[in-house]
Amino acid sequence: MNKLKLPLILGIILGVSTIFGAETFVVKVRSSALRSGPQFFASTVIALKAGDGLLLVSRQADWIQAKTSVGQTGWIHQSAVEPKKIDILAWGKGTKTQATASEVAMAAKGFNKQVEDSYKAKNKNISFVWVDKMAQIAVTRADLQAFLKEGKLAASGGSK
Amino acid sequence: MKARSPLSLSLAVLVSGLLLASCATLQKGQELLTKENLSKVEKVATVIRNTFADITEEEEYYIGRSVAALILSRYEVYNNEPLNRYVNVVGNTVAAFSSRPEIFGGYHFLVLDSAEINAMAAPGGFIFITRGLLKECKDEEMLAAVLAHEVGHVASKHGLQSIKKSRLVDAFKLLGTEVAKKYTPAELSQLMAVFEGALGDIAGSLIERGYDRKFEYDADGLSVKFGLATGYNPQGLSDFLKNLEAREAKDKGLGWFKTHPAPKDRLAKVAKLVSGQKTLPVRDKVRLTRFKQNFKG
Repeated sequence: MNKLKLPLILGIILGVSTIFGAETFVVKVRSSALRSGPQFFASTVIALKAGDGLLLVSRQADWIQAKTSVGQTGWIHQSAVEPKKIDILAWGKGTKTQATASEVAMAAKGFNKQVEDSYKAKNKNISFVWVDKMAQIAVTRADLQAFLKEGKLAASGGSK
Repeated sequence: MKARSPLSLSLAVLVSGLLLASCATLQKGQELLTKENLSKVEKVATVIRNTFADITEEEEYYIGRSVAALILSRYEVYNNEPLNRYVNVVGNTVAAFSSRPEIFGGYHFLVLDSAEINAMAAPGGFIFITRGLLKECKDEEMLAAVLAHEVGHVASKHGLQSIKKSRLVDAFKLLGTEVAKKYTPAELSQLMAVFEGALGDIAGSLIERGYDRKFEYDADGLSVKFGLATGYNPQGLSDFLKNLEAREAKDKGLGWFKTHPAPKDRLAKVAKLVSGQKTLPVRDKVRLTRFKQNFKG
Protein backbone atom coordinates (compact mmCIF):
# COMPACT_ATOMS: atom_id res chain seq x y z
CA MET A 1 0.00 0.00 0.00
CA ASN A 2 2.81 2.38 0.88
CA LYS A 3 4.41 1.58 -2.47
CA LEU A 4 1.18 2.65 -4.18
CA LYS A 5 0.77 5.84 -2.19
CA LEU A 6 4.03 7.51 -3.08
CA PRO A 7 3.55 7.73 -6.89
CA LEU A 8 -0.06 8.80 -6.38
CA ILE A 9 0.89 11.51 -3.97
CA LEU A 10 3.66 12.69 -6.27
CA GLY A 11 1.17 12.68 -9.17
CA ILE A 12 -1.27 14.83 -7.27
CA ILE A 13 1.44 17.25 -6.20
CA LEU A 14 2.43 17.53 -9.86
CA GLY A 15 -1.20 18.09 -10.90
CA VAL A 16 -1.77 20.79 -8.32
CA SER A 17 1.49 22.51 -9.17
CA THR A 18 0.44 22.44 -12.84
CA ILE A 19 -2.74 24.30 -11.96
CA PHE A 20 -0.79 26.93 -10.11
CA GLY A 21 1.94 27.04 -12.74
CA ALA A 22 -0.64 27.77 -15.46
CA GLU A 23 0.61 30.27 -18.00
CA THR A 24 -1.21 33.54 -17.54
CA PHE A 25 -1.07 36.93 -19.26
CA VAL A 26 -2.13 40.51 -18.70
CA VAL A 27 -3.32 42.87 -21.46
CA LYS A 28 -0.68 45.60 -21.78
CA VAL A 29 -2.30 47.86 -24.40
CA ARG A 30 -5.06 50.36 -23.66
CA SER A 31 -7.72 48.36 -25.48
CA SER A 32 -7.81 45.07 -27.35
CA ALA A 33 -10.10 42.11 -27.88
CA LEU A 34 -10.32 38.36 -27.85
CA ARG A 35 -11.18 37.30 -31.39
CA SER A 36 -12.95 34.24 -32.74
CA GLY A 37 -9.86 33.21 -34.73
CA PRO A 38 -6.12 33.92 -34.93
CA GLN A 39 -6.58 36.91 -37.28
CA PHE A 40 -7.15 40.59 -36.80
CA PHE A 41 -10.27 40.49 -38.93
CA ALA A 42 -11.92 37.66 -37.02
CA SER A 43 -15.00 38.76 -35.07
CA THR A 44 -14.67 40.04 -31.51
CA VAL A 45 -15.54 37.62 -28.70
CA ILE A 46 -15.00 40.14 -25.93
CA ALA A 47 -13.41 43.57 -25.67
CA LEU A 48 -10.44 43.80 -23.30
CA LYS A 49 -8.61 46.65 -21.59
CA ALA A 50 -5.19 47.14 -20.03
CA GLY A 51 -4.74 44.97 -16.96
CA ASP A 52 -7.27 42.29 -17.88
CA GLY A 53 -6.00 38.81 -17.11
CA LEU A 54 -5.99 35.82 -19.45
CA LEU A 55 -5.16 32.14 -19.11
CA LEU A 56 -3.26 30.39 -21.90
CA VAL A 57 -5.17 27.69 -23.80
CA SER A 58 -2.90 27.21 -26.82
CA ARG A 59 -0.53 29.01 -29.19
CA GLN A 60 -0.45 29.38 -32.96
CA ALA A 61 2.46 31.35 -34.45
CA ASP A 62 2.17 34.91 -33.01
CA TRP A 63 -1.30 34.29 -31.66
CA ILE A 64 -2.41 33.12 -28.24
CA GLN A 65 -5.65 31.30 -27.60
CA ALA A 66 -6.73 32.40 -24.15
CA LYS A 67 -9.55 32.20 -21.67
CA THR A 68 -10.96 35.05 -19.57
CA SER A 69 -11.86 34.70 -15.92
CA VAL A 70 -15.51 34.35 -16.91
CA GLY A 71 -14.73 31.48 -19.24
CA GLN A 72 -14.82 33.14 -22.67
CA THR A 73 -12.23 31.78 -25.04
CA GLY A 74 -10.70 33.54 -28.03
CA TRP A 75 -7.51 34.64 -29.75
CA ILE A 76 -5.24 37.60 -29.10
CA HIS A 77 -2.00 38.69 -30.77
CA GLN A 78 1.03 38.25 -28.54
CA SER A 79 1.95 41.95 -28.92
CA ALA A 80 -1.11 42.87 -26.83
CA VAL A 81 -0.19 40.85 -23.75
CA GLU A 82 2.69 40.16 -21.42
CA PRO A 83 3.28 37.06 -19.30
CA LYS A 84 2.36 37.75 -15.72
CA LYS A 85 1.43 35.58 -12.77
CA ILE A 86 -2.21 35.96 -11.87
CA ASP A 87 -4.18 34.83 -8.86
CA ILE A 88 -6.36 32.37 -10.72
CA LEU A 89 -8.20 31.48 -7.52
CA ALA A 90 -9.75 34.95 -7.68
CA TRP A 91 -11.18 34.20 -11.12
CA GLY A 92 -14.90 34.14 -11.68
CA LYS A 93 -15.19 37.55 -10.06
CA GLY A 94 -14.90 39.37 -13.37
CA THR A 95 -12.36 39.68 -16.17
CA LYS A 96 -10.17 42.04 -14.20
CA THR A 97 -8.01 39.99 -11.90
CA GLN A 98 -6.57 41.23 -8.67
CA ALA A 99 -3.50 43.24 -9.46
CA THR A 100 -0.27 42.17 -7.87
CA ALA A 101 1.62 44.58 -5.71
CA SER A 102 4.18 45.24 -8.41
CA GLU A 103 1.46 45.98 -10.99
CA VAL A 104 -0.08 48.56 -8.72
CA ALA A 105 3.33 50.03 -7.99
CA MET A 106 4.28 50.23 -11.68
CA ALA A 107 0.90 51.63 -12.71
CA ALA A 108 1.25 54.56 -10.35
CA LYS A 109 4.83 55.20 -11.40
CA GLY A 110 6.92 55.49 -14.49
CA PHE A 111 6.74 58.05 -17.27
CA ASN A 112 3.05 58.77 -17.04
CA LYS A 113 0.54 61.57 -17.48
CA GLN A 114 1.81 63.31 -14.35
CA VAL A 115 5.32 63.39 -15.84
CA GLU A 116 3.94 64.68 -19.15
CA ASP A 117 1.95 67.40 -17.35
CA SER A 118 5.07 68.46 -15.51
CA TYR A 119 7.04 68.49 -18.78
CA LYS A 120 4.33 70.67 -20.38
CA ALA A 121 4.39 73.09 -17.45
CA LYS A 122 8.16 73.40 -17.74
CA ASN A 123 8.24 73.67 -21.55
CA LYS A 124 5.37 75.97 -22.44
CA ASN A 125 6.79 76.49 -25.94
CA ILE A 126 6.23 72.78 -26.75
CA SER A 127 2.64 72.34 -27.92
CA PHE A 128 0.75 69.08 -27.55
CA VAL A 129 -2.29 70.29 -29.51
CA TRP A 130 -1.40 68.31 -32.66
CA VAL A 131 -0.18 65.34 -30.63
CA ASP A 132 -3.66 65.12 -29.11
CA LYS A 133 -5.31 65.55 -32.51
CA MET A 134 -3.04 62.87 -33.96
CA ALA A 135 -3.83 60.47 -31.12
CA GLN A 136 -7.52 60.89 -31.85
CA ILE A 137 -7.29 59.85 -35.50
CA ALA A 138 -9.16 56.55 -35.49
CA VAL A 139 -9.06 53.92 -38.22
CA THR A 140 -11.55 51.17 -37.46
CA ARG A 141 -11.26 47.52 -38.32
CA ALA A 142 -14.17 48.00 -40.74
CA ASP A 143 -12.27 50.87 -42.46
CA LEU A 144 -9.24 48.61 -42.90
CA GLN A 145 -11.29 45.71 -44.20
CA ALA A 146 -12.99 47.93 -46.79
CA PHE A 147 -9.62 49.42 -47.77
CA LEU A 148 -8.03 45.98 -48.21
CA LYS A 149 -10.96 44.75 -50.25
CA GLU A 150 -11.08 47.81 -52.50
CA GLY A 151 -7.32 47.68 -53.07
CA LYS A 152 -7.36 43.93 -53.79
CA LEU A 153 -4.92 43.39 -50.94
CA ALA A 154 -4.84 40.53 -48.42
CA ALA A 155 -8.55 39.80 -48.11
CA SER A 156 -8.45 38.75 -44.49
CA GLY A 157 -6.03 37.71 -41.82
CA GLY A 158 -3.49 40.23 -40.61
CA SER A 159 -1.14 39.74 -37.72
CA LYS A 160 -3.42 41.72 -35.53
CA MET B 1 -13.45 -0.17 -2.03
CA LYS B 2 -12.91 -0.20 1.66
CA ALA B 3 -9.19 -0.42 1.09
CA ARG B 4 -9.27 2.71 -1.06
CA SER B 5 -11.18 4.85 1.37
CA PRO B 6 -8.34 5.73 3.71
CA LEU B 7 -6.14 6.48 0.71
CA SER B 8 -8.81 8.66 -0.89
CA LEU B 9 -9.29 10.44 2.39
CA SER B 10 -5.59 11.03 2.82
CA LEU B 11 -5.30 12.30 -0.73
CA ALA B 12 -8.28 14.59 -0.25
CA VAL B 13 -6.65 15.95 2.88
CA LEU B 14 -3.38 16.40 1.01
CA VAL B 15 -5.02 18.21 -1.91
CA SER B 16 -6.99 20.44 0.46
CA GLY B 17 -3.81 21.16 2.34
CA LEU B 18 -1.99 22.08 -0.84
CA LEU B 19 -4.86 24.26 -1.99
CA LEU B 20 -4.99 26.03 1.34
CA ALA B 21 -1.24 26.48 1.31
CA SER B 22 -1.42 27.91 -2.20
CA CYS B 23 -4.31 30.19 -1.20
CA ALA B 24 -2.29 31.33 1.75
CA THR B 25 0.68 32.04 -0.48
CA LEU B 26 -1.46 34.01 -2.90
CA GLN B 27 -3.16 35.79 -0.02
CA LYS B 28 0.27 36.66 1.24
CA GLY B 29 1.07 37.99 -2.22
CA GLN B 30 -1.85 40.37 -1.95
CA GLU B 31 -0.67 41.45 1.45
CA LEU B 32 2.44 42.78 -0.26
CA LEU B 33 0.26 45.76 -1.05
CA THR B 34 0.55 46.91 2.54
CA LYS B 35 2.84 49.86 3.13
CA GLU B 36 5.28 47.79 5.18
CA ASN B 37 6.02 45.48 2.32
CA LEU B 38 5.71 47.79 -0.65
CA SER B 39 9.33 48.89 -0.59
CA LYS B 40 10.43 45.26 -0.95
CA VAL B 41 8.29 44.92 -4.06
CA GLU B 42 9.77 48.06 -5.51
CA LYS B 43 13.29 46.81 -4.90
CA VAL B 44 12.32 43.76 -6.93
CA ALA B 45 10.94 46.03 -9.63
CA THR B 46 14.24 47.93 -9.70
CA VAL B 47 16.15 44.72 -10.19
CA ILE B 48 13.83 43.60 -12.95
CA ARG B 49 13.96 46.85 -14.97
CA ASN B 50 17.32 47.19 -16.66
CA THR B 51 17.04 47.83 -20.38
CA PHE B 52 14.88 49.60 -22.97
CA ALA B 53 12.83 46.40 -23.21
CA ASP B 54 11.68 46.97 -19.61
CA ILE B 55 10.02 50.28 -20.47
CA THR B 56 6.30 49.58 -20.18
CA GLU B 57 3.85 50.08 -23.06
CA GLU B 58 2.29 53.02 -21.26
CA GLU B 59 5.66 54.62 -20.59
CA GLU B 60 6.59 54.17 -24.25
CA TYR B 61 3.33 55.91 -25.17
CA TYR B 62 4.06 58.89 -22.93
CA ILE B 63 7.70 59.13 -24.07
CA GLY B 64 6.43 58.97 -27.67
CA ARG B 65 3.91 61.76 -27.11
CA SER B 66 6.61 64.12 -25.90
CA VAL B 67 9.03 63.14 -28.70
CA ALA B 68 6.16 63.80 -31.14
CA ALA B 69 5.61 67.22 -29.55
CA LEU B 70 9.33 67.97 -29.94
CA ILE B 71 9.21 67.01 -33.63
CA LEU B 72 6.13 69.19 -34.07
CA SER B 73 8.00 72.11 -32.50
CA ARG B 74 10.41 71.90 -35.48
CA TYR B 75 7.93 71.24 -38.29
CA GLU B 76 4.55 72.63 -39.38
CA VAL B 77 1.63 70.24 -39.85
CA TYR B 78 0.20 69.82 -43.35
CA ASN B 79 -3.40 70.30 -42.34
CA ASN B 80 -5.04 68.36 -45.18
CA GLU B 81 -7.61 66.05 -43.64
CA PRO B 82 -8.31 63.73 -46.62
CA LEU B 83 -4.57 63.21 -47.21
CA ASN B 84 -3.85 62.61 -43.52
CA ARG B 85 -6.77 60.19 -43.42
CA TYR B 86 -5.45 58.25 -46.42
CA VAL B 87 -1.92 58.09 -44.94
CA ASN B 88 -3.42 56.84 -41.66
CA VAL B 89 -5.40 54.11 -43.42
CA VAL B 90 -2.39 52.90 -45.45
CA GLY B 91 -0.17 53.05 -42.35
CA ASN B 92 -2.62 51.20 -40.13
CA THR B 93 -3.10 48.58 -42.83
CA VAL B 94 0.59 47.64 -42.92
CA ALA B 95 0.74 47.92 -39.11
CA ALA B 96 -2.06 45.32 -38.84
CA PHE B 97 0.21 42.91 -40.73
CA SER B 98 3.33 43.81 -38.73
CA SER B 99 5.05 41.92 -35.94
CA ARG B 100 3.64 44.40 -33.43
CA PRO B 101 0.09 45.21 -34.50
CA GLU B 102 -1.04 46.05 -30.98
CA ILE B 103 0.58 48.95 -29.16
CA PHE B 104 -0.71 50.94 -26.20
CA GLY B 105 -2.44 53.77 -28.06
CA GLY B 106 -2.39 52.46 -31.65
CA TYR B 107 -0.49 53.80 -34.67
CA HIS B 108 -1.04 57.40 -35.76
CA PHE B 109 0.38 59.21 -38.79
CA LEU B 110 0.69 62.88 -39.66
CA VAL B 111 1.92 64.73 -42.76
CA LEU B 112 4.41 67.55 -42.13
CA ASP B 113 4.39 70.67 -44.29
CA SER B 114 8.03 70.53 -45.32
CA ALA B 115 9.75 70.19 -48.69
CA GLU B 116 12.52 68.21 -46.97
CA ILE B 117 12.46 64.46 -47.71
CA ASN B 118 11.94 62.97 -44.29
CA ALA B 119 9.95 60.54 -42.16
CA MET B 120 10.29 59.92 -38.44
CA ALA B 121 8.81 57.37 -36.07
CA ALA B 122 8.54 58.36 -32.42
CA PRO B 123 8.06 55.56 -29.87
CA GLY B 124 4.49 54.60 -29.13
CA GLY B 125 3.43 54.73 -32.80
CA PHE B 126 3.56 58.47 -33.59
CA ILE B 127 4.79 58.54 -37.19
CA PHE B 128 5.54 61.61 -39.32
CA ILE B 129 6.07 61.94 -43.05
CA THR B 130 6.91 65.14 -44.91
CA ARG B 131 5.23 66.50 -48.01
CA GLY B 132 8.65 66.34 -49.67
CA LEU B 133 8.86 62.60 -49.11
CA LEU B 134 5.27 62.07 -50.26
CA LYS B 135 6.20 63.75 -53.55
CA GLU B 136 8.75 60.99 -54.17
CA CYS B 137 6.04 58.34 -53.75
CA LYS B 138 4.40 57.78 -57.12
CA ASP B 139 1.92 55.09 -56.09
CA GLU B 140 0.40 53.38 -53.04
CA GLU B 141 3.06 50.64 -53.12
CA MET B 142 5.82 53.19 -52.50
CA LEU B 143 3.86 55.00 -49.78
CA ALA B 144 3.06 51.71 -48.05
CA ALA B 145 6.75 50.72 -48.22
CA VAL B 146 7.86 53.95 -46.51
CA LEU B 147 5.16 53.72 -43.83
CA ALA B 148 5.99 50.03 -43.24
CA HIS B 149 9.66 51.04 -42.77
CA GLU B 150 8.56 53.49 -40.06
CA VAL B 151 6.21 50.93 -38.46
CA GLY B 152 9.26 48.62 -38.43
CA HIS B 153 11.17 51.16 -36.31
CA VAL B 154 8.28 51.27 -33.81
CA ALA B 155 7.80 47.49 -33.81
CA SER B 156 11.52 47.00 -33.06
CA LYS B 157 11.55 49.82 -30.47
CA HIS B 158 14.47 51.51 -32.23
CA GLY B 159 13.54 54.87 -30.69
CA LEU B 160 13.68 53.51 -27.17
CA GLN B 161 17.05 51.92 -27.96
CA SER B 162 18.40 55.43 -28.59
CA ILE B 163 18.09 56.26 -24.89
CA LYS B 164 21.52 56.17 -23.29
CA LYS B 165 21.97 53.15 -21.03
CA SER B 166 23.24 55.28 -18.14
CA ARG B 167 20.09 57.38 -18.38
CA LEU B 168 17.89 54.30 -18.23
CA VAL B 169 19.75 53.11 -15.14
CA ASP B 170 19.08 56.51 -13.51
CA ALA B 171 15.43 56.41 -14.58
CA PHE B 172 14.76 52.92 -13.24
CA LYS B 173 16.58 53.77 -10.03
CA LEU B 174 14.30 56.77 -9.52
CA LEU B 175 11.17 54.97 -10.63
CA GLY B 176 11.97 51.88 -8.64
CA THR B 177 12.67 53.42 -5.27
CA GLU B 178 9.74 55.73 -4.90
CA VAL B 179 6.61 54.44 -3.25
CA ALA B 180 3.45 53.91 -5.29
CA LYS B 181 1.96 57.35 -5.04
CA LYS B 182 1.96 60.62 -6.92
CA TYR B 183 5.39 62.17 -7.18
CA THR B 184 6.39 64.98 -4.84
CA PRO B 185 7.74 68.15 -6.52
CA ALA B 186 11.32 67.14 -5.63
CA GLU B 187 10.88 63.65 -7.09
CA LEU B 188 9.26 65.08 -10.20
CA SER B 189 12.13 67.48 -10.68
CA GLN B 190 14.65 64.62 -10.62
CA LEU B 191 12.50 62.50 -12.88
CA MET B 192 12.00 65.40 -15.28
CA ALA B 193 15.73 65.74 -15.81
CA VAL B 194 15.96 62.06 -16.79
CA PHE B 195 12.80 62.30 -18.92
CA GLU B 196 14.08 65.33 -20.83
CA GLY B 197 17.41 63.60 -21.31
CA ALA B 198 15.68 60.54 -22.76
CA LEU B 199 13.60 62.74 -25.10
CA GLY B 200 16.79 64.44 -26.24
CA ASP B 201 18.45 61.09 -26.94
CA ILE B 202 15.53 59.93 -29.10
CA ALA B 203 14.84 63.23 -30.89
CA GLY B 204 18.59 63.56 -31.56
CA SER B 205 18.56 60.18 -33.31
CA LEU B 206 15.38 60.94 -35.24
CA ILE B 207 16.19 64.46 -36.37
CA GLU B 208 19.96 64.92 -36.24
CA ARG B 209 22.15 61.83 -36.04
CA GLY B 210 19.94 59.08 -37.40
CA TYR B 211 19.76 55.59 -35.99
CA ASP B 212 22.51 53.02 -36.14
CA ARG B 213 22.69 52.08 -39.84
CA LYS B 214 21.86 48.48 -38.92
CA PHE B 215 18.44 49.65 -37.64
CA GLU B 216 17.72 51.27 -41.02
CA TYR B 217 18.54 48.09 -42.93
CA ASP B 218 16.42 46.13 -40.43
CA ALA B 219 13.51 48.53 -41.00
CA ASP B 220 13.86 48.07 -44.78
CA GLY B 221 13.71 44.30 -44.25
CA LEU B 222 10.60 44.70 -42.12
CA SER B 223 9.05 46.98 -44.74
CA VAL B 224 9.42 44.19 -47.32
CA LYS B 225 8.04 41.63 -44.86
CA PHE B 226 5.04 43.65 -43.61
CA GLY B 227 4.28 44.89 -47.14
CA LEU B 228 4.26 41.38 -48.56
CA ALA B 229 2.00 40.15 -45.74
CA THR B 230 -0.42 42.97 -46.57
CA GLY B 231 -0.39 42.17 -50.27
CA TYR B 232 1.84 45.01 -51.50
CA ASN B 233 4.56 44.43 -54.05
CA PRO B 234 7.94 45.08 -52.31
CA GLN B 235 9.28 46.52 -55.55
CA GLY B 236 7.59 49.67 -54.20
CA LEU B 237 10.47 50.14 -51.74
CA SER B 238 13.07 49.67 -54.50
CA ASP B 239 11.27 52.17 -56.74
CA PHE B 240 11.09 54.69 -53.91
CA LEU B 241 14.81 54.25 -53.14
CA LYS B 242 15.60 54.79 -56.83
CA ASN B 243 13.68 58.08 -56.69
CA LEU B 244 15.72 59.02 -53.61
CA GLU B 245 18.94 58.12 -55.39
CA ALA B 246 18.03 60.55 -58.15
CA ARG B 247 17.56 63.31 -55.56
CA GLU B 248 20.68 62.49 -53.54
CA ALA B 249 23.08 64.94 -55.17
CA LYS B 250 20.64 67.82 -54.69
CA ASP B 251 19.56 67.03 -51.12
CA LYS B 252 22.74 65.54 -49.63
CA GLY B 253 23.02 66.27 -45.91
CA LEU B 254 19.31 67.05 -45.54
CA GLY B 255 16.47 65.04 -43.93
CA TRP B 256 16.58 61.35 -44.78
CA PHE B 257 19.91 61.73 -46.60
CA LYS B 258 21.49 62.93 -43.36
CA THR B 259 19.96 60.25 -41.12
CA HIS B 260 19.80 57.20 -43.42
CA PRO B 261 22.34 55.06 -45.30
CA ALA B 262 22.94 55.90 -48.97
CA PRO B 263 20.00 54.83 -51.19
CA LYS B 264 22.27 52.66 -53.38
CA ASP B 265 23.40 50.61 -50.34
CA ARG B 266 19.79 50.19 -49.24
CA LEU B 267 18.73 49.30 -52.77
CA ALA B 268 21.28 46.51 -52.97
CA LYS B 269 20.03 44.93 -49.74
CA VAL B 270 16.35 45.32 -50.66
CA ALA B 271 16.98 43.83 -54.13
CA LYS B 272 18.40 40.72 -52.45
CA LEU B 273 15.31 40.37 -50.27
CA VAL B 274 12.93 40.87 -53.18
CA SER B 275 14.76 38.44 -55.45
CA GLY B 276 14.42 35.80 -52.73
CA GLN B 277 10.61 35.84 -53.11
CA LYS B 278 9.08 33.09 -55.22
CA THR B 279 6.02 35.10 -56.16
CA LEU B 280 5.26 38.79 -55.85
CA PRO B 281 1.81 40.38 -55.45
CA VAL B 282 0.32 42.05 -58.51
CA ARG B 283 0.59 45.85 -58.45
CA ASP B 284 -3.08 46.43 -59.09
CA LYS B 285 -4.16 49.59 -60.92
CA VAL B 286 -7.00 50.21 -58.47
CA ARG B 287 -4.42 51.19 -55.85
CA LEU B 288 -2.74 53.65 -58.18
CA THR B 289 -6.12 55.20 -58.96
CA ARG B 290 -7.04 55.78 -55.33
CA PHE B 291 -3.51 57.02 -54.59
CA LYS B 292 -3.87 59.67 -57.29
CA GLN B 293 -7.32 60.63 -56.02
CA ASN B 294 -5.97 61.19 -52.51
CA PHE B 295 -2.95 63.13 -53.79
CA LYS B 296 -4.94 65.66 -55.78
CA GLY B 297 -3.58 69.13 -55.15
